[in-house]
Amino acid sequence: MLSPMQRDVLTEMVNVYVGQAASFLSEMVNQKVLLSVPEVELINVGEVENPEYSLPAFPLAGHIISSSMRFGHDFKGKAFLVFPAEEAKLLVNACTGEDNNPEQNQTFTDFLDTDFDVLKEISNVILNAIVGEFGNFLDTKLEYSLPDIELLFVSAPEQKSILEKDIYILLLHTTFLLAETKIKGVIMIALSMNSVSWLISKIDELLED
Amino acid sequence: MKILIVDDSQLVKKLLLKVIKDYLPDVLVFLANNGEEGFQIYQEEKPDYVLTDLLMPKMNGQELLRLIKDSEYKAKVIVMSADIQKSTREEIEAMDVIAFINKPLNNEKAAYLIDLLKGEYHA
Repeated sequence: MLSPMQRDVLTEMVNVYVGQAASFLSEMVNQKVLLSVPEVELINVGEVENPEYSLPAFPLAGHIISSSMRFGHDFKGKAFLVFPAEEAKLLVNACTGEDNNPEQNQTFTDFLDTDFDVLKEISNVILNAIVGEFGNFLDTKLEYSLPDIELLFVSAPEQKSILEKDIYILLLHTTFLLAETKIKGVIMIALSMNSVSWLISKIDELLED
Repeated sequence: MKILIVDDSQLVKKLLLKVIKDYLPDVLVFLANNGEEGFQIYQEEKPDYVLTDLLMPKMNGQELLRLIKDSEYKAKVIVMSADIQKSTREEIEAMDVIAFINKPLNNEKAAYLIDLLKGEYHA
């Protein structure tokens, strides 16, 4: 799908965008945040459905918090920020300055509306930082839907079923490392076919210069 | 002085309220969850400053800004948004806002905001 040079450019772009997102997250949790160098993969949903294709290891199975935003018009898709539920709770506490008290024995079922509110704002900032830069790169105006946040249970065999047909998924595997706790998160951006073509042609223009 | 904060995030409203109350304790602050509520409070209270988000349910910040500016073109509005697109910034700045501040709020931006509210900056 991507030539080595296209992948290199896309990885570098995403690296910068994710770096900016990390800086914003750091300001929100008031801790140093390290994001691993993102691994970038552009996959066709058809490939995902191939039994021999295995999705890379990311926390999409089990109890997860999935926060998503749709964007459009010319560059169209949906961006997801996914955390394991228990780690999302740690992120909320880091953001609100609350202690992670193990004696309280909190679990994912203890999510309150205020927790979802904080997670929504975190994903709003992080996804805007990344998707918005794609808009800047393509010199197009994106409009966003309101963030949608869900607590889901996804078993491993069901992972594929959340993906729709005729779309590409830009997978950005990123690990968030906060100073006091390790929080794993994944950013996924689903793009329409036209949007993928536009992005690739713009990258090709860069490579020709 | 009266300040209206319009944002659908409870977290953001709480943070802004704390910053404003810490540095401007005598200010009267009104809170709204979306543009629709925000415009209603704006009409009733005629605040000195409006701080608004852009992406909100029912009525977004752009629409609120248009309504406020149609009602009072000298209204002092500060936009705080996670939207980092250049096109959005240009669109908003063309609507004669005092400032466009990108979220998240950090100490530096909070200090800038307080200076704006004290009238120490003039866009």
